[in-house]
Amino acid sequence: MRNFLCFRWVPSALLGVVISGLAANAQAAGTASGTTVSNAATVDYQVGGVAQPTVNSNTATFVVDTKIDLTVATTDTASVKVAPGATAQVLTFTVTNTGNATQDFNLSATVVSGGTGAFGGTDNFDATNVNIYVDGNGNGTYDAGTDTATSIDDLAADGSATVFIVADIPLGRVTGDIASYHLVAEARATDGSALTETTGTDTANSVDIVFADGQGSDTTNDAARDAKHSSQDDYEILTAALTVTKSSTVISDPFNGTTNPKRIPGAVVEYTIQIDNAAGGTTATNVTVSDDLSTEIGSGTIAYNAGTIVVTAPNINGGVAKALTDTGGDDEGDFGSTTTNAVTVSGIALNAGESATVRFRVTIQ
Amino acid sequence: MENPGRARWCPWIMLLSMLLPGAALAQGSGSGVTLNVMVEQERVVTNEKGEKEKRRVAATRVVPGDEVIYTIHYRNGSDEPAENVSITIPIARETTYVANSARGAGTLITYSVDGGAHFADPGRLLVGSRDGHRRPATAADYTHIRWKFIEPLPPGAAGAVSYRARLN
Repeated sequence: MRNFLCFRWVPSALLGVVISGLAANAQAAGTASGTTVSNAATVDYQVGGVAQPTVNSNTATFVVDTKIDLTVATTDTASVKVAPGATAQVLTFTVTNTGNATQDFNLSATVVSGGTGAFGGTDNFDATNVNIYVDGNGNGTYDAGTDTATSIDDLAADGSATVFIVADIPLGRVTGDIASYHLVAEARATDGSALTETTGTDTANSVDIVFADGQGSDTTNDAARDAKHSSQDDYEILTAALTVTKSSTVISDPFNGTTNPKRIPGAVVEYTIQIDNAAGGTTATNVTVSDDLSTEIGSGTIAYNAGTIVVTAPNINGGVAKALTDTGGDDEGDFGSTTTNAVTVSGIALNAGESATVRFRVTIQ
Repeated sequence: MENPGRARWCPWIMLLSMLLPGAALAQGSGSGVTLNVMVEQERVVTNEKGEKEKRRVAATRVVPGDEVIYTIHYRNGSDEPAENVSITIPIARETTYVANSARGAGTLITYSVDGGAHFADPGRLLVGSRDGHRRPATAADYTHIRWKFIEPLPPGAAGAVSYRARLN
């Protein structure tokens, strides 16, 4: 509404300048559906130099119809990084009523099969147990058990609701794999029934319905002027890829000592187990290395040399090699306590690109 | 086109005229200058030849963002010339004037930004606050339009002035 309060004349040098109060201000969503817009004109004139009474015109009116329009947009600025096997992973969207009347909105998720992801890459897997929930408490975060509505009820013109796609991530995927989805919202009447656009003959004094929406990301299920809009978002796998390598070195034998020792009975052999976390992935935590020597010990091939376990890992002892006792429970490793006749070392953590080693010694029988 | 509405006589103007000595309320026979306002919109239709063309229809399917065309038909129904004819219309508050859309042959067009108290050319209209910061008015600030006829309207003269507005 325009404010006429502050106007004043300025000095004659600026004759004709008119100053008013606040400038005009329009609503964002548009004039409410059903509003009657009226207007009438006046004319002033003189006859023979004498002013005539002001003449009024008729009042011209039209009724504002219902404009159906909406925008669906993801609020994620990059793909949502998820680990294989993770559950209830969330893609976040907003649905905004850009029409001029209160509407309900139905929600659905469309699987992208092999197409381009929302943030690049190619969709190559599907999530499981996919559900859609409306952010009932409006806190922008998915709260299981609280955010349970699966469609939007009575969203006013200019109003916005946050919607989540919630799904589980299967095992067996590698870093960079993408599962992409479109969220499709469809405007509905406030009783949930489908809307029909008024076509054909104009109805002068009743409120018609006009679909004014554009086409969103889901070009298969969403067209312009169909009361639907859509937006695309991705789950992207970010996981740790560990490789384990076992090698051995002869340390000494009874006859050559430590000079070019050979693998003969009495020789001491050092085993090295190396764990690598591939670059480009994510951190692996709670890594446990276990080497079960039951078969070799049981067959009398080797004997474990007590007290020879050494771990070298970035997160243990500042990355400096640490000797571990064979006793369980007092440090990161043991022999025969967690598992009989097995070397076990746990609590290793590796960032992407890091490595750790576990070493121990045996004597060939 | 049907005959527009009747002239309305404001009682206080009549009283003033009677008090001023020598004043005479000169009035021509007939109904004087009358106005009829129509509001329309443009619709793209496919004509008989299958081509798309714009047609004006009564404004019955208007949603926010749509443009409507107001046409004010005028007529001097008296047998005297009408002098200093000035047609004024407010811009409905649910609409915004489309810049440079006002038309009226033989008229000077001015605008008001203060509710019709004062009218001026677009270049001379400012909006601002009491404490000083002002800027030139834009079409969105206009509250009224006025068409002032340069020449008197002869008896029987008829025509139309118009403007476009966008529904907010």
